[in-house]
Amino acid sequence: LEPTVGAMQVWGACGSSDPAYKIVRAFSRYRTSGTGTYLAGGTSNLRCGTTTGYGYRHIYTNHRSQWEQKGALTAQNWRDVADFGIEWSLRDPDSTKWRSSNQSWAFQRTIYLVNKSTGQGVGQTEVCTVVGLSTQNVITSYPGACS
Amino acid sequence: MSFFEQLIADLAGEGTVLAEGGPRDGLLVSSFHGRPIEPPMTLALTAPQLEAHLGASADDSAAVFPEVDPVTAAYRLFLVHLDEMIITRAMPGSRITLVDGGLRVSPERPADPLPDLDPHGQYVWASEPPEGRRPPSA
Repeated sequence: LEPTVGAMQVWGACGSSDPAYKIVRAFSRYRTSGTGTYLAGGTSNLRCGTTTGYGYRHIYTNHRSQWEQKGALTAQNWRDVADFGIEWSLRDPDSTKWRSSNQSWAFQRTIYLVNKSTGQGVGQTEVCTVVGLSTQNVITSYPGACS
Repeated sequence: MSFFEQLIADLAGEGTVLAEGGPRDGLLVSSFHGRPIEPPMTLALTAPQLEAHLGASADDSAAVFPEVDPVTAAYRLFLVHLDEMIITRAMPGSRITLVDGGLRVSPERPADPLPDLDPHGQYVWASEPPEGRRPPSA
């Protein structure tokens, strides 16, 4: 695993006429298991989704400002930080939580704010990404703990 | 069991306590995933409002949980949205309402304080702590 941020992936556009199922970005996902449930490793797609429902449009509407706060610390666009957070939370989570009431998995991962000149850590944040069991698509992702 | 009753029961099973009988219409949220909330938040939601919301969002939700009927899919998605709103925006005493098909919180929790950074410094988000490996995964 790469220890630091790699090349940011470009997200596909979600224009107003693009369908909800259009894929914005495909993320690699670690396998996980919980109470009687198993989710194989594979791919979780971030799709355009809907403003009030799921995917890119939901994250854009409800969590863009939170990602922007994290991006302001590193002079990055909110999408770049969100991409980094989603990628690592799914690829190598610190913890996962199965939620039987809605058949979803929550992947949580800490990412670290580092001074590039000194190499010192100056902060950190949790990232939570929620994936549906059946479709394995990304429902939402935000900077913060999963519960 | 209605979806309203199911909501109270499902969240109770996760340590989130919703109780009727607040000073205004809605449910008092006195704990969240086992952590007490004082003063409680208010989830301004009635059974008819939840039913109407689930019906209105059913079509969009079917793509997320296609294995169940669209209204059940909407209920599952509502659980995600309620959790993320409490985690990212709410604070003790907040009131959570349904507006235009989405949840709104008032007052919202202030943004996290920024770390004390060198204004001339350059920073990067990294997946590993610079001091060494992160703690083992849970």
